[in-house]
Amino acid sequence: MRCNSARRLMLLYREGELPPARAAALTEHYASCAACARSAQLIVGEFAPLDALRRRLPVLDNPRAVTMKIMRGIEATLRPGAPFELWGRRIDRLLSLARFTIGAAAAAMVLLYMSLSYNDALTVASLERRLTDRQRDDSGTAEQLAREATNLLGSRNAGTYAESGIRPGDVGRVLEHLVRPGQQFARVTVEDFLLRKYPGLASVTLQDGLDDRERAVLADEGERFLKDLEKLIRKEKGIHER
Amino acid sequence: MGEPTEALMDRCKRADKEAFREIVERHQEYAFALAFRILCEGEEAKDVVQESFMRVWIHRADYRAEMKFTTWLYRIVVNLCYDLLRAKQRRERIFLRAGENMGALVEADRHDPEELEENRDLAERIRRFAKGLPERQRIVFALRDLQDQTVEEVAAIVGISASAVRANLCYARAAIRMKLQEQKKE
Repeated sequence: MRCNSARRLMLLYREGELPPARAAALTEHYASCAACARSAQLIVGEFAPLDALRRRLPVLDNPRAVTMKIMRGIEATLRPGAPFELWGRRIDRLLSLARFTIGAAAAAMVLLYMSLSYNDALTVASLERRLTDRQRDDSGTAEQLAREATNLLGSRNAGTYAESGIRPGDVGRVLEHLVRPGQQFARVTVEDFLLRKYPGLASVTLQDGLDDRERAVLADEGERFLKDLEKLIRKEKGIHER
Repeated sequence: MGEPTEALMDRCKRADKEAFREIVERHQEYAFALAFRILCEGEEAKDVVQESFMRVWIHRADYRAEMKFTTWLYRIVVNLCYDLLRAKQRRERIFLRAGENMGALVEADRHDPEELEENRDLAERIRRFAKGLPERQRIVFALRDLQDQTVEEVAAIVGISASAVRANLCYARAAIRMKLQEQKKE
């Protein structure tokens, strides 16, 4: 074997990836070439910390206790009726996961609602005042009132909704159909947000447990929903602090 | 060494608890070493070992003697470690956003006071090498370079081809070699 080949193969040799015949040829070469043997020594030195790590086995603290715990676990599976209990435990685990997911989704929705409603409450209060004034004056049709509401709500929340992907116009179109004095605009807006951007998520019902479709929807849209929520909250915080 | 593990598994299929106890005693430390080297957490590794053996018992009827028992066991261990790593990443992704305080909590969790001093030092060293490696490279590195499994065994455990194992190893080793050189310079 030539020195060039030997140097190319040194790393593979150290990593134990050389076929036995080539490994044997390499060791033979080391015996006859001091320079290559020195290079090989350097590589071995370079990897010494890793080799030391390989030799050190982590200590399993009290293995007897671990064995006992495992054996207790399997004893439980051997009791009459245990297979049913086992399935019960699995279902319980699934249910607790579902409960966690439902809780997280519900908390996220409440947070979203709260974060939007505080900002909207200010808008809604002034909007309601103006709508009442207008009605009292009887100087506008329902469409005019709706347009007024759209402009007001749209301009006030433009920044917030731009982040969430809802344009002021979208909010306006919904309001054109729904606006009435005293209407809960914040609620309409939040529902609209969910229905438009996350149609799947909006169709998840939390009361009767999750089926496969709903679980898939949560897995698919949940993360993006949380990201949007985070953005909205950050934006809202900025608005409030200003 | 007494009866081969594969024969003990046959007895387990007939609900022989003593055979199973022997299997646990024989393999739990090695299974723990694998889980520990992947997770770098003593308590979590212990939980993985317990859960793995429970799964071995529950699915004992599915075991086929053509596969080495250790390959089958390590596959279970690795899958559980995967799940745990992913769950941890998800948790960290969600909760670390909530602020610095949660970050401190996660950090505190890593230094479990109950953990043996020896293990803590070892975990720290492995972390130093494996830090920044993608999940799969980290697992392949732990199996091949720390647990001394052959490439074919790693492929069977992780469920990928031997060439994919080699490719993953190659990237992992290059990254680790760089870290070793950096350490040497320091």
